[in-house]
Amino acid sequence: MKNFLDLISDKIVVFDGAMGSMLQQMRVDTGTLPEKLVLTSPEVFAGIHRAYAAAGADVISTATFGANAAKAGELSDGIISAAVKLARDSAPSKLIALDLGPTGQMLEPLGTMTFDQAYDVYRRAVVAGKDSDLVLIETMSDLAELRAALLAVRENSSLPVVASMTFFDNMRTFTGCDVTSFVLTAAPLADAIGVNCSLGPDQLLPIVEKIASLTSKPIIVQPNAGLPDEEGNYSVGAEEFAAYCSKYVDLGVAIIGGCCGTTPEHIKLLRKIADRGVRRQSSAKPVSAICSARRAVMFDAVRVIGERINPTGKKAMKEALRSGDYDYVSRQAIEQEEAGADVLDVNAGLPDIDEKAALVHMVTLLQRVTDLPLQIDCTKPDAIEAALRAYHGKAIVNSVSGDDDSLDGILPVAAKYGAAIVALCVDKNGVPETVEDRLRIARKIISAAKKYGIPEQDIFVDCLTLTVGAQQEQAVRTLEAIRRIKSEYEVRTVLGVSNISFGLPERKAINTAFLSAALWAGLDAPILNPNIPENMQAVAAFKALCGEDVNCAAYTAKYSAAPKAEASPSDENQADLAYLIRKGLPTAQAKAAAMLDGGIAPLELVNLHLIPALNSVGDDYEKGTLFLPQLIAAADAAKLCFDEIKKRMPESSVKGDTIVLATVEGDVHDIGKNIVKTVLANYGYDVVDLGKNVRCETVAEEVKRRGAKLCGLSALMTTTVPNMQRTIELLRRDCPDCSIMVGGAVLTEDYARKIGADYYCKDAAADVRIAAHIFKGEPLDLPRLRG
Amino acid sequence: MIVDRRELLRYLGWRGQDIDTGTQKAIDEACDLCLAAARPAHTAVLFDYDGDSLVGTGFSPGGADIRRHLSGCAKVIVLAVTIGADIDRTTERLFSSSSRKAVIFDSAASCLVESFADDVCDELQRKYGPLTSRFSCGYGDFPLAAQRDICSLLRADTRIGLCVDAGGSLVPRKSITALLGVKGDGKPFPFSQADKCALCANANCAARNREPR
Repeated sequence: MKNFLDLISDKIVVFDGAMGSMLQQMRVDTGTLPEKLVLTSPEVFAGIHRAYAAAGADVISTATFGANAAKAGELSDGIISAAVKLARDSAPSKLIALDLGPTGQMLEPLGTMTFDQAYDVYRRAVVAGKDSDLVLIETMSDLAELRAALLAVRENSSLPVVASMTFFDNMRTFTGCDVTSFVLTAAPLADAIGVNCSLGPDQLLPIVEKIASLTSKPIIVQPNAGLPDEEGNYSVGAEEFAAYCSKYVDLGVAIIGGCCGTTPEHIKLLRKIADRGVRRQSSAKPVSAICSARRAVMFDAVRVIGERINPTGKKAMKEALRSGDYDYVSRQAIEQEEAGADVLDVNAGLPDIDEKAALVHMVTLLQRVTDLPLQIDCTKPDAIEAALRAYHGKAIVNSVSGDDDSLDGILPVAAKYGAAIVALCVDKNGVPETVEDRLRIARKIISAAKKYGIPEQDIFVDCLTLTVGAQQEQAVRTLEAIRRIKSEYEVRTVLGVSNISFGLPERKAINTAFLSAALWAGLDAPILNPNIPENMQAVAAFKALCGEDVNCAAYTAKYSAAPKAEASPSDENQADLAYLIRKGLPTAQAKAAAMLDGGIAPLELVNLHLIPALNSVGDDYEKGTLFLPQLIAAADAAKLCFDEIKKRMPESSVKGDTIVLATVEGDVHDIGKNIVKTVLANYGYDVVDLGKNVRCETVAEEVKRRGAKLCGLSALMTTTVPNMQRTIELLRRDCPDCSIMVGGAVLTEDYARKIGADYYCKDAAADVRIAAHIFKGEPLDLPRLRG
Repeated sequence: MIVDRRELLRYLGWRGQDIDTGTQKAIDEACDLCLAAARPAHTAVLFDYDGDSLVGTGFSPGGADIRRHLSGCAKVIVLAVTIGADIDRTTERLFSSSSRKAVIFDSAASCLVESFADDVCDELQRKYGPLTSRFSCGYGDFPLAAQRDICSLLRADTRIGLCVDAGGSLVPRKSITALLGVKGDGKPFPFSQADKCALCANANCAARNREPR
């Protein structure tokens, strides 16, 4: 039997064509899951396999595209093992590819399927299909799902694996994955990568060109025969199809085959192309780049790594991590992105929290709100692995030191997931004093990394910044080490700069001067606070001076119109806080800050200004004088004022009364819940938001753990109301002291009573009145539905 | 494909209140953002219908209401439309910065997907003649569980990136699936002009259009 990896190393290999179109031609009644026919009418697929084998395909794909457990349920294993045997028996001289398509469900963060659930679906399929010769993962849209499938193959079999996604004319998949991010993420995990389905063969050309420019891995292309009309007809005939495919061979593509709408006629012509053609070897140059699932960052120019998501020395971030207020983390991410960061460093190192769990949580959360690639800032191999598993792109691991423990622990993990690394020039003897000692450690890490297959382009050397006030001679040595390492290797360099000025006055001046010098020495990726304008100015100025910013265009665009602060209308300056909140103006924050600085006590500000303002807005909303966006805008403005208060309160003293909120299991509509959360938080309650689609058991566990006296549940769909009832039952059993309020589009007061809730909330204002009743004993004009 | 401002205001609970400039600006921005983030895609397949199931698929749209809706139609179009995952992502992101904009954006996206579906249906109607209105899972007694079968029939996951999660919800969220009967003759359905509320049985819905038409 031929070996697939040998075959693709220097030959042009032909895969088979479509299954669905053949079924349609044969007018077979397929039901909603054609793969079930493997069990009931195997002769149908046997005929198709034989036809493609006769047409000259080297590889026959099993009839298992939609047979995974997420789509076929309990039938899955049986279909898959039977389909592999069927393909083998029908085409005994060919290689058999276990064909795996998408689960049909969207993974987190867009959908509700977890990475582990998706992994398990593919693990089962790989085990059931173990008698195949290779695995073909195809027609994928979501990089998260593709990674789950790839890891499932890698960790549960030794078969070669081909990974193929489906792209559209904007060069992205449906979930927004771009070609570069696909290549950077999938190439380290797969033996061949490429594109299938998508558009017709002509429109795939720029996508294939892009893939070929980025990787030396063998490339697969299996286009559709055009796009189908409503009656399932495809427009591209065999001759035309083949003409396009020969262009792909010219680009160096290793594997050609067909997707929707192709037939044995198409494959027959591909066989001729493969027999005539010569396999061109890849001319791709290795690139230094990382990515999220949707954005790649190439280190062919200076890139800024934002340092703010790190609790070290940052009170608010510490508080956020301890309390689980990940909204704060999200805001930090967005702020840094808007300030111009290219990459975000993520650190969860606090002695009293579970670093691994927090890191995974943050990585998951940040992928919801930002497309910037992440740098995982951690030195514990198990936490790094968990974070890399949860990250649907190519991250940088910050960092590996020159110690053997660090090298042996972290490098295999980084290599497995295809991550880049920061090589920290430090070992058990501490920070080296000399340039030569720094280089010695860097060389050791680079050489160890190469043994694991990590190329120089994926190594970011950190030559370390020391405090110039304490060790003055070291500043120059850091710069010299950068210069030397860059001249020796194709590596990139990172450097945290702000440490340089520790203990000195006017730190910004020292920081920016050192930053500029480091950039001139060859620093590629400064790690800094992008919210400090001087930092970003120094980077922008460098780019203008070194010629990277051609014609100083970016610099001019950014700074020519810059510093004129927008003049506020005079009534905003004069207005009192209540007015600013009522109008939803962000200037409320500055006003609150000024009042606090002027001596008003934080609690006084809350009780005499914020709460009355919010109450008045709430009343007007009730009366119908204001409508929803105005209510929310007022809540947003008040939230900014609360942020000012929090800044001035000692750690952990802002704990209020706890309210747990959740959108119930099975329900992903959380707009109403989010409104309630914002409003309640602004009234000073400690709101724990469990999110959407929360398991019934989880709600009860969290309420119990936190001893919350009030729990709010939301459901938008009739189908999920039973889960609300089940959650209430669990809460009654485990947390008898907790009151339960419910709301959501489908609920009515009667319905709320029927499922055992205490209160029905027709809007967010009702929630506030209920909370005030429960925690402050204020009278309530809403009926208690129970007892 | 447009964001119908009147429809948007209705979703936002507007009952004639003064719209201040800040709110107006937020509405304008959210609408622009929504149009920019939308990646409309649709897929439709025409099936023969024997009064019970879609011929050749083994799929029988369950419930008396859908049967009544499709009665007399020999062919049925199964349709799925979405305005894409970027809409969901943008909503999520907006909630971290401005809840007001997030809420408006979310409502605008609901208007947009309806409008896109109307455009697609108008196009289908030009091609196949008069159609019934759209009938979706969850209307009347047509069970939500059918969502999965509809998406499988259409291969909506690979064709337009539309998934069904374990609870039966569509992801991306701003998506619609529906069945439409091909009537053969009679009046075309005025997709872009129809009063959606008049077609819906949920008389207690908070967003119901209560103005007389």
